[in-house]
Amino acid sequence: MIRVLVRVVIAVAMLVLASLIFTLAPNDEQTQAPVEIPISIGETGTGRNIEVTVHNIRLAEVVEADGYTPWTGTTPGVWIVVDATMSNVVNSTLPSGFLTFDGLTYFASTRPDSESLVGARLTPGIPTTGTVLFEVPLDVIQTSEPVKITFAASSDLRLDSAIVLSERLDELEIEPAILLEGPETGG
Amino acid sequence: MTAWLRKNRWYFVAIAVLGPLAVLAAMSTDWFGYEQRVNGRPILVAEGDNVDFAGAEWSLDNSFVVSAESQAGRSADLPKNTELVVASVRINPSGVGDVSPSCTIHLKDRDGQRTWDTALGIDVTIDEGASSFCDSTRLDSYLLQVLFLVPEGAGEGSRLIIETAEEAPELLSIAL
Repeated sequence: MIRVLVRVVIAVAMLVLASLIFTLAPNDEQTQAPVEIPISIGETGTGRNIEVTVHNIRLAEVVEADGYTPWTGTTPGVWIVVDATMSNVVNSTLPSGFLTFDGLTYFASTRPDSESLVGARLTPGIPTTGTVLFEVPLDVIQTSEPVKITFAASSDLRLDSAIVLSERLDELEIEPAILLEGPETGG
Repeated sequence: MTAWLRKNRWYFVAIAVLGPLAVLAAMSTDWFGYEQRVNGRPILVAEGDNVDFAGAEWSLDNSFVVSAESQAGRSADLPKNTELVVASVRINPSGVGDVSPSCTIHLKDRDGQRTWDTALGIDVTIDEGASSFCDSTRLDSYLLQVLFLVPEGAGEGSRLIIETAEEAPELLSIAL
């Protein structure tokens, strides 16, 4: 009788252990999540195929570009202007950038076309300096919660690395207009 | 319990050996497939070699490096701390099927760690009659001339990689 009881207890324990492992095991999203490399302003982060330095963050009501594709960008919200230097590490890609706040994701604006750093093709070992723009509602910058800005070598972040900057924006002043300088290669 | 373990010891040994072997065998096909997708099967081409590949004869005509600090580099407005690798490849289509091979072209550094695409928007005049891409309409012998903007010093010992859809995973790896 005791031997039967022991076997039942062992069987139940193994079932509990199996369900625990099944519950705790990472799902596909977790196993394929990018390796995040945190940086602060002025610091360089190097991932598998992207190296990023964020020099400055500014806010603006209007952004203007007078380079190859002149453009004036107005918005009912606000522009977050990120001055950065990026390069690839192993092969050439079009980088991606997005901002996350309060469960929402704002992708880097493509409205400035080639005047944005995320519209520029990067090159391994050759830095490109420029700006990345995020067009966001005012409440994103009016909170003391930091926003999370992520840069990656491409739009597919699975099993790759991502450079991540967390920054509070509520102490920055909103400038009436900012003139963009198009991406500049070399340095 | 000890007697039970002793009685079944060969089964445990079999599991310990065959388990990892089964995992390795199952993963090896994926590994070889992955390795081939990443690196391909390079056909190494040295200077002066003529190689038949993808229905044409290929040979390196010449290659040189232009430093950003040189007169030519300043004229081309090359970015600081960069150099331009210029490679010319003679392509002689065999004429079979009235087609000339299309291809994709990259440059790999000496260690094979970094890869560059052909450079766009560089103010350099290529040889008259040369093509900047594999021109599938050219059935006669022609010169393919490609430019790569790389960090200073990266051009030395680099290799030109030429791939075609038909011959993949085989590819040409031409020493510059």
